[in-house]
Amino acid sequence: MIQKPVGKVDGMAACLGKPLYVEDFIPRNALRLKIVQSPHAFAYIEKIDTARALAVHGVVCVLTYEDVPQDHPITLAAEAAPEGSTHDRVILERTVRFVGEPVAVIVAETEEAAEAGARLVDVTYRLRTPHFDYETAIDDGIPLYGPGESFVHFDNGHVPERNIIARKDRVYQDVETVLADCDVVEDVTVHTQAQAHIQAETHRTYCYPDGRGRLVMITSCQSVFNTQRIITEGLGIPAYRLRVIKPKVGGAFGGKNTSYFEGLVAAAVLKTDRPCALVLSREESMTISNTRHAARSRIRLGASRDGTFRALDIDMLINGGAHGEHSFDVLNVGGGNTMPIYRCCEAERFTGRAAYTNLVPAGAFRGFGAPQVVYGLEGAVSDLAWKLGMDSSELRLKNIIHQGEKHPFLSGGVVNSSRLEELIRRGRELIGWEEEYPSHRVDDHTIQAVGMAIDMHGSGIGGLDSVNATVSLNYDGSFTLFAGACDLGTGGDTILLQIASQTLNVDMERVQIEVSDTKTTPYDKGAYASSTTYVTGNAVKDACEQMLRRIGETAQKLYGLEEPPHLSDGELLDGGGNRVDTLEEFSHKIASFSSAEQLTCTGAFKCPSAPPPYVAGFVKLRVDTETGKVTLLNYVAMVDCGTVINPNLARVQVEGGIAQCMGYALYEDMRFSKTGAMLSNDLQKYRIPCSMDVPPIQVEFLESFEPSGPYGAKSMGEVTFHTAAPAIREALLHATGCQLNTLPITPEKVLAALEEQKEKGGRLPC
Amino acid sequence: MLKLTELKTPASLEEAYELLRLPHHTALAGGTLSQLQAGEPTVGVELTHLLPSGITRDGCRLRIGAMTVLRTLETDPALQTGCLSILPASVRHLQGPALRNLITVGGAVGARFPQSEFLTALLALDAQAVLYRGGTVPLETYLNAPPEDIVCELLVDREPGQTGFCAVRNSYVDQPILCAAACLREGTWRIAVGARPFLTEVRTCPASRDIREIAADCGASFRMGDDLKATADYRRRICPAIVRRAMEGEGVCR
Repeated sequence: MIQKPVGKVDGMAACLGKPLYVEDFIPRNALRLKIVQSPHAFAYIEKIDTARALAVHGVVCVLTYEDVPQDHPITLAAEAAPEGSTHDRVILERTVRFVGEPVAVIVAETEEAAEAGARLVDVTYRLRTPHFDYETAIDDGIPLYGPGESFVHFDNGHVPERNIIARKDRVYQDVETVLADCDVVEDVTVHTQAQAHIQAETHRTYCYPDGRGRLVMITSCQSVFNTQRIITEGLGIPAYRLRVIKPKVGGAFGGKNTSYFEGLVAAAVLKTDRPCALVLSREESMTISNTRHAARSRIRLGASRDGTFRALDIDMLINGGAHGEHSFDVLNVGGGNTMPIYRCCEAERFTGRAAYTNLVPAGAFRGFGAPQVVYGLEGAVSDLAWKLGMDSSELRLKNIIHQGEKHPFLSGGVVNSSRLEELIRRGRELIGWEEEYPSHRVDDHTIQAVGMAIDMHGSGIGGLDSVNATVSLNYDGSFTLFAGACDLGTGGDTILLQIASQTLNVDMERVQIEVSDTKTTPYDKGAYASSTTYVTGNAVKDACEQMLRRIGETAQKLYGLEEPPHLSDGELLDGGGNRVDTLEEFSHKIASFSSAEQLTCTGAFKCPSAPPPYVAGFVKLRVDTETGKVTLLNYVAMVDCGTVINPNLARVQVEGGIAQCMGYALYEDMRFSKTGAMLSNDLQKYRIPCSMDVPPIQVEFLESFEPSGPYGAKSMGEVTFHTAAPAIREALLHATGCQLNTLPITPEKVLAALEEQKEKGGRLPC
Repeated sequence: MLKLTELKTPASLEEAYELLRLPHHTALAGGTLSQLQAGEPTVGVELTHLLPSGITRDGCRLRIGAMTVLRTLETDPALQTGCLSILPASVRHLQGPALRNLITVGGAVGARFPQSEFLTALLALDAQAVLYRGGTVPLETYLNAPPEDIVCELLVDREPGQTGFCAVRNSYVDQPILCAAACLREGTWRIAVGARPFLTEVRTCPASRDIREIAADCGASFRMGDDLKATADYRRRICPAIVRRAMEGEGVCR
């Protein structure tokens, strides 16, 4: 069942438009919510007058800060407890800290009434002075949070008086001394922009009272258990009073890893005792929920003249926006999932800081800090190769880490599975590196070039992730797999079924999956940090292995055999290969009066370390030297994610990650006004690449075998993202000699770089 | 998105004309403009059944009915090659074929979008607009001072001269950062530059100098501005290059 291109289990249903998503479950009589957003970037609400809104026919009530607990800051980051994020939120704030922050929520019989009511809420604000520049916010801006307004579970470097959300430091030996001794030091600073997730399905939540004092919530989220914990904590109700279910989700990418809206809907249900629903428009999703962290990363890479890396120093400053969710972990990943791709230098250091600003909050987004740093790190490697006159792929081959080698910043300390070297060698062949390197002129205003980049990521979070999965043998001989895991359109449910049927040695049709329900499925951390295959997959494998043993023991007793029979292809066979019984008959018998022993097994996996998958990305592109326009021609992605459980789903993940990073590199430009309002707040102004922008992407997998992974698998979800942007930067370096250090690389920036180079007397390479 | 309180279906162009002069009455052709507009709820006045659709030959001219959708223009076999192939080139990047199946020529002209590549190409071709009350006027006149009138048809010469079209955009379906169209006829260039981000304008100049010189001077004569996509400075720097490429025949399929 594994390593087979099985179609998604809900794929056909989705194509045929079956009712699978949150919006399909909202009944006609549900109340509809509309959020009133703050027009100010930093203000204290002195008074909210809801009289005019309440007078609108159809408006049932208006929620404000008075309806939710204010004294206990939580984080909305839906990751496992104890959450490392700085806690600085309540479900509805009295102080608003970014333009667009929810101020009030209208609850009405219809969407039209809710919208009409939203226009009539009168708010009296006392304005405060906002600060928008994250590069000067620490110590320069007015603190966003006063005493008592924020809280941390453990010291993550949070210093509210200085507008520091969190800090992360990693030190190995003395990097300054080694840098001073190096033949050459590349010193490059890159600025990477905030990015919007633009999932096909915006945020939406439906919640109803079950008549027995409990709430049932159906929401588009990434972790049902963490959502349950956060919302009940924020509303001051016991966790068992809220059941959270995740149906089919139309994409998340990290944007639904923070429970922005669930608390509002639950609060509405508590107040009205009626079913309530909130469906966000694209603009609301973009302006209220999170972006990727914008960042400034300074890389100092010291090497000897022959290209051997000797010292690596990375300084990362990220813009957390108005709230601190995820910022600490982004800094963690910024150093931990980037630097260990190269052999450990004589000295290495990572210094990370996250700053508050009065802008829309940043949060989780595929890559989670690594893409920002990789843009700079791979940029430094590209620049070093260019300066030394070395082929950049050879420079990488000289310095990459190999299987069996250690790195102090690597989760688990040692690389147990890697084919990174072969990824680079094979990828070079496929893109035509030797013929194309570095660049050549096509006509009087077009240059063609190649570039590459490598990246790594994690598989789950070492030392933190924990997951259970349960498998049950039903009386009809079928199995049910219960997993709290969350398929986000990623195909996670399908992967788990493949692992289960492989382990149980039965056809996939014999296994049903029940997922993502706090009431019926066992605890699972949820879908983030690339963990469904590796972490939940291991728990599923464990549960199924236990099930095989239980079937054997039970059958041995039931049939009076000397040894336990084994399950093969739906039949129980004894040691001599003779059939003892069919699985169906056995299941009838154990469920019947003679036995009353239905079999259920719960497996577990605690993630001790997060084994890294690897990608080597190669791009071929053309640049128009008169306009700066970049056209991508071809991309090759070589991937080592361990054993590939499903080649089709894996391929789609790679293509999606690469395309999304091409958007990050060239097209997606998030802009704010001088007063902190998001200007690029719809799909006309914020452009993601369309199919015509994305070149043919050639994907090849080279399977290593990760001993700690289910059947040798690692992860895929995030590692597929980071290479496209630095590969494009390197190709442009090869084409023009210019370093494009600010994303997105627009035609205007390329032209400006070309003109600056000409003014300084520089020349094009060809 | 515009909210309509009522939909009126006038029986004649005269009735439509009178209705559109009333406050809070808006014309509906393909219906796509209302997706972008905001404001007070209005009365929609349907025009689809009153105006011609399709491209016909009339001697040395093409008549393009106002209800012709851009997709028809884009795929018309007669426009795929030759000097008029800059018309398909000027609409090909607009959003996607589904939307181009709705957007009408009359709506595109009436909307007068600054980013419109279509209007830029039409201006260079010296197209004319046939108005209900106002008769046949040069498109340039209509764009500069749009009267309260209904566009019924466009007229375009079948042999307008030597043409070209060039645009710079970021994403393939993005609005252009800058676009230029050129047409040389009887020793005179008509050069139109749009998406500056101001409404497209046209200049005429004699073909008496080197193309590069004309492109440089002409390009510098257009007023440029800043917007989210690019700065005025960038537009000024690339304008001579894209005007030159339009003059060299880019965008024409031979």
